[in-house]
Amino acid sequence: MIQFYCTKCDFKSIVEHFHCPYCGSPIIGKEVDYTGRISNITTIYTVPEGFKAPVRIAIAVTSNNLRVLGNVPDDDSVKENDEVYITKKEGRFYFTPVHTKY
Amino acid sequence: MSIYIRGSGAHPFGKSKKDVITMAAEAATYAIENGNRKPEFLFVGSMLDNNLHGVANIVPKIADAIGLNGIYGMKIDTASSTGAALFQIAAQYLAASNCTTGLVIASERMTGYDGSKITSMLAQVLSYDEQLHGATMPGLAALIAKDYMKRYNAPYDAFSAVAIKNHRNGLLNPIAHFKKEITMKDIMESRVVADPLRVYDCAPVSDGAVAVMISKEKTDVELAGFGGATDTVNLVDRDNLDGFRATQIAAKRAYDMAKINSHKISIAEIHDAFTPFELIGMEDLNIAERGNAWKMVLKDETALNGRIPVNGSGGLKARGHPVSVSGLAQIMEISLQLSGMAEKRQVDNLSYGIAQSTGGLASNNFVTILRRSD
Repeated sequence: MIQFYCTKCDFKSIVEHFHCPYCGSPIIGKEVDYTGRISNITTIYTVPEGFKAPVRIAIAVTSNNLRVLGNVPDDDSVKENDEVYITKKEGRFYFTPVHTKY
Repeated sequence: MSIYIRGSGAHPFGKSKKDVITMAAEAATYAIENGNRKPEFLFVGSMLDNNLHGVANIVPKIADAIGLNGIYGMKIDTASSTGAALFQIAAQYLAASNCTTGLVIASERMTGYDGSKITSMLAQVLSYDEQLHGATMPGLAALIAKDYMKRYNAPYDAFSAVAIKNHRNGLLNPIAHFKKEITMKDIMESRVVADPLRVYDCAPVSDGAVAVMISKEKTDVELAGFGGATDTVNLVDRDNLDGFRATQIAAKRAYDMAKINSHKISIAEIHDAFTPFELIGMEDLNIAERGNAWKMVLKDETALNGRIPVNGSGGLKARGHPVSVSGLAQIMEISLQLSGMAEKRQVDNLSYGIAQSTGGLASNNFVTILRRSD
């Protein structure tokens, strides 16, 4: 897993960037482990073409205050304020409950 | 250089049987009649004309339809803020050119398509990464709504109060998509689109067109200031979700240009694509203190007869939301109010009015300030 950091300002992102959107400086990547806490979660019932309703998306915040948008399971296993593992597969982030990983 | 609004016209919002060019021509014909001048340039906006309808090169097609062959023209696109962007760039062109009068037209046709198709088209304004997760405009708006509720202890009732107020105002607007009052019961019985947002929290899919004529010749309504700004397309890349930075920067630029602060504003049109966005917009424009807009709405301070009327036109919620048109419709509404032509919606003793328009998920926003000319 890679976090992207600006070499000049405080900007950091989970999304790949080549230049900082705030100051334009070069971005570097750093390999990190991911866990985070769910801040907000919603269930979308009218979904785009190619998706099966409902789609659940959430924002998780890591310990260094990085926000990540990802999908959560279509059940109540992940709720707001839960600690989650963040994994990435084919460009999508998935949040799964810490207590069920092992 | 002073720029004035000389006339305006609209094709009513809602479900139309007309195509995007015919609606544009109808709105333009009204604006030219009202303005009583032949425009010397033409700026056009439409977001879905190409992708949804296969209409490319729309400018000469509209010019042909309204008999303006030979006119200088171009198309602008900033997603759902296109109407406001058009107006601002046209004003700058007018100021820089030797023209006296120009015409701005936005036209959109959206109805008659499957909900999933329109949802996909509108989601294209989001980042690739967000689209990959199945995120939609209402979905990301729902995350922002939850953040607002938690951060400021705001009840869902405040969102409903926005919808109820704007539907009440839409009843008085002859071009509004919805001309019916709604109740809390209607809202609570409506479908959830992305929790906590229900159907009545979301602006509808609408057809419609608006045209506005601008001029260097003096009229009752003058452009006082304008500004625009972008923000990161990825929502998670923003410093915080507490307001929209693009609106805040755009508003500062507009207030600075107009040489006023927010206390001078007596009426506002705000991009309520989702009910919480009206509250966030009020705070970003500094017509409400941060975290307090929801209290103002619940106290009816933003009703047509309130301390500062917001979305007296019905807003995107009830007037309707033909995406590229809404920003120009806001400017037309403020202009009608300032010139005393808003009929049943008329608010008295106005001096300055403000219009705030949101592009994408607040990634390209515009703020326009109009005033009654001396």
